[in-house]
Amino acid sequence: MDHGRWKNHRNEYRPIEWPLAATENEQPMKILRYIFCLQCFVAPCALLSAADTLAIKGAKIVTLAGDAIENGVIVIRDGKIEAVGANVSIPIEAHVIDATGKVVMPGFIDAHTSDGLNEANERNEVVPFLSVVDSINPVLDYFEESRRNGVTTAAIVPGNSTIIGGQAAILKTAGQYVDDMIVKRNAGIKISLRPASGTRMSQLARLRRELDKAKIASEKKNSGEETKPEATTPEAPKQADAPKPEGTPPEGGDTSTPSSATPTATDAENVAKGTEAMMAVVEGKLPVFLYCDTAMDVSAGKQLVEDYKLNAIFVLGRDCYKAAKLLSDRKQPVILDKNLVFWETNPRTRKDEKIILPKIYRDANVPFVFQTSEGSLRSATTSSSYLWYQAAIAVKYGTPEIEALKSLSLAPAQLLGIQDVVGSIEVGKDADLVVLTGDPLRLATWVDKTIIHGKVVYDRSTDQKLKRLLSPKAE
Amino acid sequence: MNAMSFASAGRWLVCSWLLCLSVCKPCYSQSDVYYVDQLWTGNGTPIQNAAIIVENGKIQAVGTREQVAAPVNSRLHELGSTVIIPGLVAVESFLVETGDEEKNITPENRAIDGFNFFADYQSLLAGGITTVQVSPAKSRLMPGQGAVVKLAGDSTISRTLSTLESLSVHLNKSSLNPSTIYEPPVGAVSVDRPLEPTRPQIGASLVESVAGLRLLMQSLEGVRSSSDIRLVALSEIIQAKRTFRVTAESTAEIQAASKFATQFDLGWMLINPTYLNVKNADIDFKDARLRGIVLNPGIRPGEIVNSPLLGEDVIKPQAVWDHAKQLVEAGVLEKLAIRATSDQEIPELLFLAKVFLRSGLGHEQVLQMLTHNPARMMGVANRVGVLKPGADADFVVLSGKPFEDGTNVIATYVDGKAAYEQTASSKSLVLSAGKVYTPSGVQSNASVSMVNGRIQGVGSNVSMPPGAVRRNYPNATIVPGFIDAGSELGLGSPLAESIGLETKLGGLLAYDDEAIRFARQGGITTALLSSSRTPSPILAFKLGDKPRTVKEPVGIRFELTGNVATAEAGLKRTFQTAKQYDDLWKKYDSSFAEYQTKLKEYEVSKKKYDADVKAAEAKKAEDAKKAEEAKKAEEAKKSASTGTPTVPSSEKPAEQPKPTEEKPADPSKTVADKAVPPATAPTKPPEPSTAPVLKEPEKPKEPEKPKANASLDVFRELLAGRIVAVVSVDDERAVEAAIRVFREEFKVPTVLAGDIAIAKQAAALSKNGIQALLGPNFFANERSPSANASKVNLPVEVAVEAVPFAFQSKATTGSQQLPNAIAYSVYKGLGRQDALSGLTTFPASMFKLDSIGAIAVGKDADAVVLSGDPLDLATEVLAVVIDGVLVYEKNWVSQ
Repeated sequence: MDHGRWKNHRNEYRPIEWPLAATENEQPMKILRYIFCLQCFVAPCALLSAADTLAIKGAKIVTLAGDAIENGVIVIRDGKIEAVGANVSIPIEAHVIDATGKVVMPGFIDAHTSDGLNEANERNEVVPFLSVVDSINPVLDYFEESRRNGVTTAAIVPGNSTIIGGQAAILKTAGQYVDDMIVKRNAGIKISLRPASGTRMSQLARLRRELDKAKIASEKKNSGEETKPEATTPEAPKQADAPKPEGTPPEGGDTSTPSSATPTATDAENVAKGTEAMMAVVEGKLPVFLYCDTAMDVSAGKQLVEDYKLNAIFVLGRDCYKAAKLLSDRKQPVILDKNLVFWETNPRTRKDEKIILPKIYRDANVPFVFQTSEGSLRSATTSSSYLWYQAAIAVKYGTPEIEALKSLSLAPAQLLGIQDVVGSIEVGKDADLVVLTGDPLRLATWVDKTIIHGKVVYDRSTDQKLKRLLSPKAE
Repeated sequence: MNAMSFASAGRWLVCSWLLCLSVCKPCYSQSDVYYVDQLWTGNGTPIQNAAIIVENGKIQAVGTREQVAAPVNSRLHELGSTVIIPGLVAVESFLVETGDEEKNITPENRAIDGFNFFADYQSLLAGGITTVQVSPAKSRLMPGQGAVVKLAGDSTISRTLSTLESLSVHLNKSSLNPSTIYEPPVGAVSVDRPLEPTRPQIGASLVESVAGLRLLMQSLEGVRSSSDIRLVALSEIIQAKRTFRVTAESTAEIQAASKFATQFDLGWMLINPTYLNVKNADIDFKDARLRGIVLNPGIRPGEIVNSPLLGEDVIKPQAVWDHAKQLVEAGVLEKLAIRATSDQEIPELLFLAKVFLRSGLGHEQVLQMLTHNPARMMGVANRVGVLKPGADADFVVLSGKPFEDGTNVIATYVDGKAAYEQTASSKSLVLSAGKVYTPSGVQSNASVSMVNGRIQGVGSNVSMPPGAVRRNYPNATIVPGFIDAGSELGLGSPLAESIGLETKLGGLLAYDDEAIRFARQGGITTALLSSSRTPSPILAFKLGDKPRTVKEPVGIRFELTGNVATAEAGLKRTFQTAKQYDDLWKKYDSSFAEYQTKLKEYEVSKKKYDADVKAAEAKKAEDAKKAEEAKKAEEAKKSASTGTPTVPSSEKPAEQPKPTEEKPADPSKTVADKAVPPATAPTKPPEPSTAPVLKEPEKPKEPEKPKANASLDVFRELLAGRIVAVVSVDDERAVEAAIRVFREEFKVPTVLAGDIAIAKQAAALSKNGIQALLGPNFFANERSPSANASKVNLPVEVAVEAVPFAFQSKATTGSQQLPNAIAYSVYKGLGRQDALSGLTTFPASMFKLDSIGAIAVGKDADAVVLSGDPLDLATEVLAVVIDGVLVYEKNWVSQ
């Protein structure tokens, strides 16, 4: 069955809608498809209500778009928020969730993770053409865990041990097939400054080289387009025969530079080789998930951003706190390491020092959001793999609560450029919600329901795994 | 009209500008002015008595004190007799992230990418290094491009002086046969394929490498952006006209490097030219393309290196200092720089550079080779290497002149901020000064070395303890730390409660007391503390950051004030009680001594008795044995006489040995056992011969201890003369009463505290061996009816009668003023030496504080550095040392 037809174009998300205005001759086929479609979507989510209209009433609504609404109502129609407020009337046809005494928040957003992949790319060094979409497996535990913890959207990014690790995608955490989940197919490119092999010097030299090539290709393309797209072709032979060392094939050991773009490359070739993506990077159209492993990478990264005018999202390793001051001029938040609090021995004084990342970055005036992933390592179900726990830690060390709550959804949405779709509870946005049993960031608070796109994708009352975990004897 | 309005407008402008200036200046910039004995600019003669003004991390002005006017609102730092030099510039280092590059030619690599700005560079900063060049690698033919960075500073951008300073080319053995290379080295192949060898890897040689490099250069002409990354990088380097940094050691390599640079018209630097022959080399040293020559002294500080023995026919390299000399003669001093053999030696550059003094180069010239020259040849001299207006405020404060033995780095400043400061808590400290007051007289130009809080050496040539902090005060005077023989310091507030004599005040001393910090700035290092309610124990303690008890108690404080008759009677009673108690103990002590001698006698006699008993037992055993043997012999005889040992004899031999075996064991056992319980067998036959002689000696009885009284125990110390009685007196009658009670009746060491009364009775004090404690007033009005009564200088009155005296402040923070108060007495006629003794040796001996009061080997390291003569109001305190720690330094601003 061809799912591609229902999914939308690369960069935007639209709910899967049944095309109502279909032509006559397609009708029988469409009905078949409809049935199949129902099976696809309804079957995995037994809780899905058949009704298109959902209302949540009685809850305190933390909209993040304004003040919290006590005893408010949210009306959801066709997966979107139709109305929100204290005095909103509930449509007669709506399926009503009574959330009296509970708190509703926008679904959490994981701003950077390499989970959810069958295999995160950690081996191929320069592969801008590679996309995580090809490796995402919707049945992985990661997605179930995410829903259980209120995460409704995640930016899935190639691993950290590469140079140009491939293209990232932003997905909802519920769906049968990848294509159902995609919010943004090409959400950015992973660039890592941690040496994949050799030294930092050669890592950066190779990276600069790739960026230079992309820049030249972009300039050529732009100047070529002004006349005619085909104008580039006659140039090609001239290029090829002028100096003989041109296009020197990479030596035996150096296989990781497949994207040696030549001006002859057609658009299709550019896409295949990832040159198009790299061109978008140097044109500032495509964000870069810039992974900095150590503090010295931050300064190198800043220089790269400046030199190539990159639209960078800084993904920081633990050690980067030493360079926190360097990031204070950035308006966009950085993504902190999973380990927010740790001990380190000062090499000079030999004293153990407690390093508190949220405090250091706050003091340096650097906004931040959280992640739960550690590169390719599957995050175990430990405390720091919950986004809300990360936010609670930040609050413990001085971050105002509202800021911490925003860093769970609105801030990452803005960082990832999807704030028009998700990130807060506003009319017109996707109905991605978390119903909490109590106030957020409290230890005794549970995720009661997770709603993605107006559908309940997690309900604690029917969470068998959690039940088994908490009361094993009950079985 | 027009002109008028113009002028008034102008005035307004000026006014508003001034207003703005006066308002804004303090808020955005404040300048620091450092005054030092000498300032070496890095490329000229040192400035004596210099000042340097720093604002916003840049140098504003440099010159002599007179030339440079300190801006308003600037912070002034008097750095005393120190010397400022520019931050040293290490012309080559390999401070990049380690990791092997598998290729021999990687011009695209940038050392700046491998330099960790966030690493700890304290050891280099401690060596005075503020700027380093970083090279990408040393065992590759063309490892990449170097950078010039500062080792401290605010941002990585301001710390980067040059991102792409030079391209390294190593034409030495290690790069011709590089280790862990999986790529064939460059050979002479063809212009078309300069990096593609036609042959498998073979041992590279110089000729091949140079030829390969030439081909590489020639192939760059048609390089396009899409070509090999290395060719692109190299082509960019050539276009940007970057310097080639060529390491070449042998004559052939040097020549090849020179020819290569000439052929391709490259700016270049020559590194490590061990076999350079300055006179015969075919190199135009004055050619502007030759940016510099970097010499390596080849010395490892404190290490011995075996150098290869060269055969007779081999041309031996000239000494590196001879190279320097010849190159200076050739007029290229500016092109010379000094590098260390490896990164470990870079902190010792100042020492390594001394080797160039052998060639007769001046100290300024050698320093220039560490500062201005390397900065110039790397194109960063506008910012570092020279102390001149507009340059970065990167400088080093040295304890003495550079290259002088014992000189060390006190602080290193980068961008006007202290990036390194010698910690004053070092275990050893050496103070040098023009005059040192010692018990054997005043020594001139001497040093005092202090290790672990004790004075280790005093003299003009003391040895420098390892890692010692050094301070040099050429025109200053070092005197022992002053003793305030009566203060109210130590507990945070004056003590006015009555306390038991047994109270240990030492445990109550307050740490980090502001009053103590303040007081010691006057030079007070030890203070005595007691309660104002008498009798009170007196504690002597040091005014360190953590006050330390010197001795407790050093004495008891009494009062003979008010009604002298009752006070005297009361004191007598107290003393009598104490005396009785003392007598009781004395009696006990003597009887206890008697008991002990008796006990000894008893032990001797008891031993003798035991021995006698043993001997007797042994004898008995012997007899018994003999008797038994005799019996056996008889039995044997009997059995032998029967003559038939047929059947029983075959069984018996097995049994027979048993008794014989037991027997020799028996006597020894019995001898051992006898001493404790009388053994069974020998007691049976009581021997009348020994019994009446032995008589067990009687054990002596231990005398009974008197009841202990901690408070009266202190009096016992006093009565024994181990501690001192300090008696406050008001008038002359009280003095007489004190003499009667303390000297005549109870004969205890006595110190009288008071003012005019003591002065009046000075002769009596002298006669009775009483010492004086003066203060807090050192002048008193003569109690005479005459209207124009003159003031009496009390210390003089006491001193002329040869009464030893000490001074007390009876104050908290006011203790700091004690030396000043005495300075007035000196001004009015008190001998300087007497006055100094009154603050040092007299109180030390008066209170039996043997470890303090003098600058002599073995004493506590307490000293005061004064700008001139002690106890002169014209003199100020420059530094105070307590227990070997510099607790106060005047104007030593630390950030």
